[in-house]
Amino acid sequence: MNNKEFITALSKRTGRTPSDTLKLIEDFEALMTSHLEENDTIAAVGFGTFEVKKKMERVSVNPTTGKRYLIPPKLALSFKQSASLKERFNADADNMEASAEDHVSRQ
Amino acid sequence: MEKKLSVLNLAEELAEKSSLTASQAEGFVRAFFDVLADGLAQDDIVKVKGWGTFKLSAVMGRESVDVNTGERIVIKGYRKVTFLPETALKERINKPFAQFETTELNDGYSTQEETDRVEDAGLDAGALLHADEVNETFSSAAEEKPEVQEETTALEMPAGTESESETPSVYEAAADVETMTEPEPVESAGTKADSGEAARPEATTEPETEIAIEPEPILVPEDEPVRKETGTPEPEALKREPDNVKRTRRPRRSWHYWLPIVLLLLVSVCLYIYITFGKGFEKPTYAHAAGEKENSIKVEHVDFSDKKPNIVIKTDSPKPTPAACSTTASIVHDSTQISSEEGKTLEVKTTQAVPEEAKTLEVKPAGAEPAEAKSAEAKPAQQKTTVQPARSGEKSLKDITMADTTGYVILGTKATHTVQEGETIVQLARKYYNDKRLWPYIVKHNGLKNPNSVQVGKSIAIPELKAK
Repeated sequence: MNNKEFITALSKRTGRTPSDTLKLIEDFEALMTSHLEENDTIAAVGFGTFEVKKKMERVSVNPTTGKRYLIPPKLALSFKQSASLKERFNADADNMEASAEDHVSRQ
Repeated sequence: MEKKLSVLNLAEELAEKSSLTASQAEGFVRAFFDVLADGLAQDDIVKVKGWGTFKLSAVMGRESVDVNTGERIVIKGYRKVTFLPETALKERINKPFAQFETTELNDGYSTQEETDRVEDAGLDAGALLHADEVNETFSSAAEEKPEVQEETTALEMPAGTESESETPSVYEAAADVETMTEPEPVESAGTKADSGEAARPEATTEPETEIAIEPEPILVPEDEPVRKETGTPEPEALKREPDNVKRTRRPRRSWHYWLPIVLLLLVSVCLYIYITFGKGFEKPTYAHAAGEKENSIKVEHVDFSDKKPNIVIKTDSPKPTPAACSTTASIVHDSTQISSEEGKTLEVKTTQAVPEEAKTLEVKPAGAEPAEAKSAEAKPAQQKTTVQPARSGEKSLKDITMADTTGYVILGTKATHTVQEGETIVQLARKYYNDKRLWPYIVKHNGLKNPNSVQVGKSIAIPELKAK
């Protein structure tokens, strides 16, 4: 599902025009971004949690050249799916493994 | 600020921001996430512009160990929603750390890398060493110039000292004939003391006696290189000169700068011997200077007769231990000679230097002190009386003593000269400047490393000199 499809689906769900929906989406994204910039955590019930995590600096080695690099610390946005979402996608416990394997083989 | 925001919080803020009511906003937010979940369920992937990409990815099942029981268990594989934020979002969130950049590290752990590093380091070190060497060569090159000048003093000193050394020997002939039987040690001692003294008392002439206008420019520059070498602040001594009491400090320092002077003298003596016996080209001037010197000696004799006590004491002093303190003895000789020209200041100095150097001589300090006292007494009278003899003595000194090697500036090349067999740089200096003492400028101008060996046929640029 790409952005266009997403907007269409959302506009259908909320009963608004796609342009209105797009505007609302932009507002909402800006709102979330501004909160995340302040290291806030956004917990969307039934979906997952957006959290800004600090990654420490580390030394990395380029395996081909053998050169070592110091990678600086950074703030990264992480997402963790909620338990309900996990259940939803893995509802069929028996089929789950098969589907996972299927997924891997597809990749 | 790290608060946990729920959908409700977001909906409230969205309602404030947009024209929606709170419930509408809440509905929208919920719909937003529901559509995301639905989209994931449908396509396994949802792209939201300005936000990021949500993906469903499979996690493989794996074997593990139950922490409590220790049993081997299998964790089943599952599907997981992953989120990849857009670059813009990433950058906005990472803004506080944006200034950091990935840097390459220079010191490593891996063996291959380490060897590389070591090699690099070695190269670096080598480069550094090289740089040091270059620096050294530079500095040595820089040092060479003073050395050349010092050599000039060394070379010129014998020229001056020869005739001067003859004077003390003449002296000694008068004083005691026994020393004359050993001409060489006496001579060398004479030169030693002579040039050593030349370095010292000459400096004193500068401020002290205005009579010595003529020899000043000659004497002072000669002193300068010596000063460079020894590193002793001569001017300090000069300042103290008028004060008799302060002068007593001086001998303490003399220790440090006598050593290099003595070394320099040894070199000068060697050069002198080489020049006189090896070449002998300077002979005529020596004779001339010596001839003049004898005149001056007469004057000095007269002078000495005026200052009986000093001379008596000092010429006597070397006698008791001639071998042990031949140098000091000659210093005394010399100093008396010069002091006859310069007056009491020099005299005082030598008396100070003497007790310091020849501590074994008990006669000396005893004799020296009265000399000082008497010279102090004779101060005003002597200054007047010595005016005439001093001049004559200094004239002879002027011919004898060192060249003015620092008082000129090289302006350019005046002429070029092709070296013939048997010619020396000194001869060239005499030819072109009528003054052999200016030879160092030729050496400097041509960058000759060894002025004592110049190849026949080499063209030498004769610098145009201008007095400073």
